[in-house]
Amino acid sequence: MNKSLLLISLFTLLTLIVVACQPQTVEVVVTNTLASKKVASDWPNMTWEEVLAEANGQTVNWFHWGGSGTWNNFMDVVIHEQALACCNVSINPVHVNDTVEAINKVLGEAEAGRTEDGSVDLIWINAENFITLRQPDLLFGSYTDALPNVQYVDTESSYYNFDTGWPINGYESLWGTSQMVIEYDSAKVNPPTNIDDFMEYICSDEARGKFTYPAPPDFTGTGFITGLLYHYTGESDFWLGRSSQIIGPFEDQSLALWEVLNEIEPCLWREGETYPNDVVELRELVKNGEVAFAMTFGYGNVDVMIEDGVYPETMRQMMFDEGTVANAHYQAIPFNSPNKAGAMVIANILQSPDNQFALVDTVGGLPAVVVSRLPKNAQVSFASIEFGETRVPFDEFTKALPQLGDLQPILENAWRANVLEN
Amino acid sequence: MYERFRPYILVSPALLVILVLFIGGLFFGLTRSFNYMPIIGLNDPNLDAYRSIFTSSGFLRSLGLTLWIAIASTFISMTIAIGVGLVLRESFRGRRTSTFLFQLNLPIPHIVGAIGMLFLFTQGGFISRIAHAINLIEQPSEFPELVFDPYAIGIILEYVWKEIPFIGVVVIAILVSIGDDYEELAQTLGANTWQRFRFVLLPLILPGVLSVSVIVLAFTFGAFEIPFILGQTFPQPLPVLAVRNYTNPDLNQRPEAMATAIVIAALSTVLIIIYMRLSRRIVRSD
Repeated sequence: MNKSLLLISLFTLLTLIVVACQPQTVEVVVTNTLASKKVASDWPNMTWEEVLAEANGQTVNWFHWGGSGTWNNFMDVVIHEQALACCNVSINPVHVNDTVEAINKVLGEAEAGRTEDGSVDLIWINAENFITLRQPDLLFGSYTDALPNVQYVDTESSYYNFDTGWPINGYESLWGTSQMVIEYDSAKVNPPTNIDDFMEYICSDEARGKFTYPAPPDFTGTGFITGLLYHYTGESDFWLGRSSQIIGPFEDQSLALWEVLNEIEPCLWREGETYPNDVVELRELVKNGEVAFAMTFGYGNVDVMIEDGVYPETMRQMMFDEGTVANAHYQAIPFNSPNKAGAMVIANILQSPDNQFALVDTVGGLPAVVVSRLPKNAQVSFASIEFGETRVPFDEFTKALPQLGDLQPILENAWRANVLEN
Repeated sequence: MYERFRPYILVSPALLVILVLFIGGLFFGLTRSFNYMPIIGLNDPNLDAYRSIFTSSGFLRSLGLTLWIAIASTFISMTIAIGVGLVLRESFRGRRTSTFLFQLNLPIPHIVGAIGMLFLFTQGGFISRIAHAINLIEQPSEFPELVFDPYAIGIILEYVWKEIPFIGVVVIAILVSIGDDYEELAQTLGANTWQRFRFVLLPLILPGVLSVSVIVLAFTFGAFEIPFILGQTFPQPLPVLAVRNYTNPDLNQRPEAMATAIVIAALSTVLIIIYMRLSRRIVRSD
């Protein structure tokens, strides 16, 4: 009895201390806000110093895809420590399997009328997820021109201005790019690098049954057939001018693609009766020796997978002569984020020369910045990057094909109708 | 006064949770399925989503597949569970160990079972490798398609593996409570083994077994994760189809996703009602 009494009084004392401390911290915040402006009410009439002042002490709930250890470590540890050291901003990472989970959270909050104090501060986003939030005006912006490190980015580039064909207008900041590569087991297959020969090769005795691609709408699978669409039906420019208004012609114009895909279907893994759902399942098939090919948007993926023992050591990377589809990584801030200033600080840190170098060198991505615009020492670091024979050399990523824009869902549905359900 | 309201007060917390979470969710799902979603400018409720799913051949094939999985899994698990229950009722050496082993997988989650199926039964899986090692097959692709297959064998296998002990627990419990008296009585009246099972034991265990298998039926009809992991790309069972539509970034797909979910809920309700009616009739006619 005495013990519990003691415990209760101790607990009460502790509570009192905590409560007593509370008003003081509140006071500090009040004086802070009185002195400076707030992004929520004053943007864009703020200087970067004022953003930094508001960001001081904020914790940013960063929703990002959590499927890769190297990327997680980069964002949750490297960036977190830098943000803490420079600006007293900390990161609370929220790993999602699919970015759409974060999107649904913001949508749900918007529908419930939660216009401030939302639970998402920053999202690693691109393509249709960006459009989903941009359409109902649920993103904060325009902010990307205000980031100091944007000086290293080519703001005239299509990456900076368009995301899968959609105008960005400063509502998501560019922090990396990526381009599709094909991975193959050089001990089993030896594929040619131009698309026509490659398609023929798939049906050869050597490669029969050893190739497949993730079923669209998985973004890697969609990226693969988008590249084929450009090749078999005309140049990418032809498609990019179009919009989803022309559904009828799309089916007609894309006939050549479906012909090819149906032609190779009997030569695919499991004769194309079923497809892996995503690259993770595809890698599992490589690991089990069921297929000899994989594909990915991750430049560094092949080395990581060999190290983890998923891929055999004979796995190599290749690129089509005609180029492959590329895309970009962005960060967007939801309209109801209570920590917009902190989120902007993170977005800025991601574009710094050091982190852009780390992105390529250790994380396995491709940069958002233009190397020639970087300070001298950073340029030297970039020039020194050299990877082993497993990878396509860093400077050979020249033929980047654009994503399909708002025709993409139509392409995905057409694939279901013309290939999968056919 | 208090005495009069006491039962209501006592049930209200549970009812509140059910009403708010279930009816509330169902209500929002319903409004969405009627194409009402003001945030993307859908302001006039209509039946377009239902019309579009019921005219799509993909949806109907998914529906057929879902029914096949649910009915086949339930029937197979029930039959085997009754058989095993009858055996484990006898006294023999190692009965307790067998019973323990039989029920061992009860606490194992479905998802673990599914991963296990992947390890064992894919064409590059454990069994395929053994088959390769003993020269039964030359290439992974010669191994029969047991996972990601058109007949959902992998999915049904997982459900059967998991649900046999679940139904079995009930069978054994009933058999133990019945004891041997009825059977011995029937035996003295000249009933043979089959007759004792058919006219004595079965009528006694059937009501319990049927009500537990309704749970299995409803579960296998509406569960998502097993078909998601072990299923083919097309056609996909309804729950997977619903989630796929729901996670489509194109918000205009939401009404169809919700309509699919509502159809799943409605159909499993209907299925349960039919099943209960039928089973009551079977039980009564005996």
